Amino acid sequence: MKLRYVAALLLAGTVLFGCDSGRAPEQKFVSADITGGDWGKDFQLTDHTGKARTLADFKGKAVVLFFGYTNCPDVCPTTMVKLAQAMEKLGKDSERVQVLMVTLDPKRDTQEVLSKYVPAFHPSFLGLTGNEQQVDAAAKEFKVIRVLQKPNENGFYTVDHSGQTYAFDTQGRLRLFFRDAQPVDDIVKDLQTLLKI
Amino acid sequence: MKNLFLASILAGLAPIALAEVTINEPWARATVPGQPVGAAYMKISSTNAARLLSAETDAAKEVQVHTMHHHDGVMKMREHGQLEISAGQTVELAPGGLHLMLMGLKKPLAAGETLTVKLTFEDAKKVKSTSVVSVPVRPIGK
Repeated sequence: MKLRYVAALLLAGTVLFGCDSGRAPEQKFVSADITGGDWGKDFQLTDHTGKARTLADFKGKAVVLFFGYTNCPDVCPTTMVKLAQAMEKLGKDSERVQVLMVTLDPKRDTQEVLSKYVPAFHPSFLGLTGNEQQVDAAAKEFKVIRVLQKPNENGFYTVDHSGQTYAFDTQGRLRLFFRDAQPVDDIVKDLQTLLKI
Repeated sequence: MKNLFLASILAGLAPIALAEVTINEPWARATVPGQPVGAAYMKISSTNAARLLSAETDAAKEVQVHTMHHHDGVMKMREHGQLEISAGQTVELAPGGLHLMLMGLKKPLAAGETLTVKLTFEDAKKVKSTSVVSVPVRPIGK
């Protein structure tokens, strides 16, 4: 079910991308425009400083939302660096962008772990965690696949997860879906467009 | 990239069929504070069939071979177990696939530093050899 949904999203992205020839004036974005869905509305989580957070806290900023975990050595840090590079490229506009990383592994990614990890990529980034129910609810709300694997004999486990990143406009509406391989310049361009809406 | 290194320390007397293992283009991705794991990549080839029995480094408590699969947008990482290298073949450990998972990092891996990773192989005749590999750490995203 979930897999099918992600596949449909990816397909939608491909179709939209494929139509972006400049002849369709309503198509403003390089990445997949997912405006108008009845999902991805909000989350109730705690940031890495201990403050309770919902999407409304970031009104007036374009919000970039990424789901990952710190025991992920490849895609997660690479995506975080890409988002940090986007912030650099945005220059002054980056002050109106808030990047959030939601951990999919709240058991290991405590507030303390996230407070070291997330700002190491960019000082403005916020890590979000919560209890198992809150994180699970956020993952479901944003169609993120999250499957905790069985621990090995040392207690180590991995988390199967989908690697999409979302962007919200300054009014807190979910607008864009970035693939995990989305180039940084696409992200910069789309965030610049979002900030003008 | 740099063709670093190959030091097979021969254990025991196995004059002819001893596997000669070559490691090329090793590198590890830098990590940030709070990140408990890192990944190292390289190309491993061997003249004879060989198996990677274990890997260790002072930088981490444990090193395992892990593999990543990417299906329908979902990333799945698993422990791979012992890595088999066929005679004359090269096994590539690369982002998005096989990697050495450096678990329980003692401190963040800083770009520019070099890790020493010791790999222990065994050939078909159960003769062990050890490769000590200098693994440069590259910035994340490079």
